Amino acid sequence: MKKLLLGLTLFCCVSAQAQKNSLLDQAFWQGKPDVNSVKAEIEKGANPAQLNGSSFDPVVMAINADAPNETIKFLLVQPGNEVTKLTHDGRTYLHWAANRGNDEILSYLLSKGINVGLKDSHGVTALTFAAGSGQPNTKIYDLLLAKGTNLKTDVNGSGANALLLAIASDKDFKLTDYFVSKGLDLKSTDADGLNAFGYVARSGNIEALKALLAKGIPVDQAALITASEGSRRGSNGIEVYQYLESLKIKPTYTNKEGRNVLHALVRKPKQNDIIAHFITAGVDVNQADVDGNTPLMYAAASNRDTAVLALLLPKVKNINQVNTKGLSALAMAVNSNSPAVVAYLLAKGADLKTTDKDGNNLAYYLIQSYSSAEGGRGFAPGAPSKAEEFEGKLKLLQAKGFDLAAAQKNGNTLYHLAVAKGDLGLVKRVQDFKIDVNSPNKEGITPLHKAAMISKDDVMLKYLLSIGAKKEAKTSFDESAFDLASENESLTKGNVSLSFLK
Amino acid sequence: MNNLLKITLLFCALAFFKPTQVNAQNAASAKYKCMIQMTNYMGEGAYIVISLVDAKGQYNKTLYVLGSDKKWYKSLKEWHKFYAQKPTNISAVTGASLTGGDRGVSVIEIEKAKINAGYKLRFETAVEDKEYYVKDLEIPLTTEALAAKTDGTGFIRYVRFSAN
Repeated sequence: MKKLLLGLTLFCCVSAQAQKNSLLDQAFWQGKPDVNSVKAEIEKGANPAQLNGSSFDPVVMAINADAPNETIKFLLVQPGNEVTKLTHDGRTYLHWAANRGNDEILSYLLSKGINVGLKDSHGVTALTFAAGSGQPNTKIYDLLLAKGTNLKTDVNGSGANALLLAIASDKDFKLTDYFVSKGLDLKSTDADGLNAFGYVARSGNIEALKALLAKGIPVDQAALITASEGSRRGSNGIEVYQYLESLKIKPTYTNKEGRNVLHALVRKPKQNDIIAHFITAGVDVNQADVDGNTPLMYAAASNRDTAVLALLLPKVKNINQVNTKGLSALAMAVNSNSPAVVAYLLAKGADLKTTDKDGNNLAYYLIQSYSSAEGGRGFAPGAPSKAEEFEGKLKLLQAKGFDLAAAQKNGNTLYHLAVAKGDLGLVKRVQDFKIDVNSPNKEGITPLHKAAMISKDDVMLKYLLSIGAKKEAKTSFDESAFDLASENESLTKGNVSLSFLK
Repeated sequence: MNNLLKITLLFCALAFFKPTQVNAQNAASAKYKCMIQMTNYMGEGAYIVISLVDAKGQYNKTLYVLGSDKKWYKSLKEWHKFYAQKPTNISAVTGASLTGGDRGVSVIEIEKAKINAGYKLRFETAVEDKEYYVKDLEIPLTTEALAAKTDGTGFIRYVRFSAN
């Protein structure tokens, strides 16, 4: 019985920790709930204004799930859901309503005085956001234009107007014709000079590309690059590249960011035939873009197939080349890729002693790659978790004699880095490396100081004390861990008693 | 040690130190350490830009940028308008973004002619999915301010200056 009770208590704790707010549950909104169902959830304690980890709130989820408009309007009058509220990627409700083509909610928001010109964190207004997803309901645009939006000046961060943003997903050119009727030019270009042909190439729609040529839009040399970047729907097949090359686009074309067709291709899965085709065609695998990144670096950072590395490496001049931040392909692989990719680069002679511009070595990037088992499974189901991959990469570095106990150039030890990740499990793992827990960094900050500054509760602090952290240590500004913790708003708001640090 | 000896020693010390001091003062600019301490806000790393602005609030110079991914520079809206018009190479004055509760020390170089001359230091902050503060902190560029601690109004808890 006791065990059962304990089990139940644990279960309750875990559920409470997950902060289950039924109004932030995707499934709840899929059921298109009416006002009364939402009221019932609020009475049960659900918060209609809470933002989830990605800054989506119940209003945004309701709009995106096409919930009944009465329900959305009910949510919009709840405290905390004002029309000035910013959600995911800095978007207002106007962005989401426009994106879904919900003209009724859009009108309602406009009547409440919502800011029409507000740009999200990608520099996109509600109108260009809707255009970018190809929203075919032109009432949306009519309403926004009636509020004074100027189609010619309302461009995204790359200088692309609504016509360019919409055209890749506008199969029958209906939306394009609409924007032309409102004064936009089919021959528009963005700030880099990319035209409609370049934008459509992204979708790989050969028929649409042919139609554009028939309308007198010239071939854009950058189309090969946009095709290689693909769209959210996926990558393009070899036939798209063959078509573009048949139009005399040079395979070796390099855009203003210094990228060639390989930079994007090597990041995507299952592009090996196309990559091999372009290498044979003479595309430079050593081409560094404006950030100093080469195709090898991009592959090392995000392609889990070592066959891509095998394609690139025979032509790579220097496997240890670094980008402008000083990261090598190996550092990137340690930071964000699998043990197999790290092992492959090591076997090909990648330098274990590489450090970035700030003097951070591979151990720094290994710690950055760490994520506790929960939520760390970003890939296909059944794929190893990030915690498992962390162990795999750790073993590879150790087997090569890498010294994990050495501090970074700024004096941070693995304890500092683990505390900064806020993960107790990682701190415990770091204990195995026999590092002095009181070793300060160059600014006089010890791991305990760091924990006092950033902790949300006392768990990490108490754990560090239990393994010998000294509370007397002072920073170069003469602050003790107690002083720092006393300034920490998360601790004071949570009424965490700090007497144990005195 | 009697007082006379103490005074003599002090004199000698001053005599020795003075030349270096004068040299430092002759340079057209001086370096200051600027420690930014963040509040314990929830969310992603803050992008922060330290700008020199004139008495009218016009941007004069970018002194430091905390945050190196250019795609987020747009979120520092007012500064970005200035930067986009007159892009300068800021790679030498760019550091890592700061998260909640964290702190960072940046070394900023200020032209001496701009000190006590009506200019201000502006600390502009932005966090993904969160607020943007055009003036999280703005202080008159005076000798006093460059030796003091000043509280922020947004993501910054305080900024503390000291001679480098």
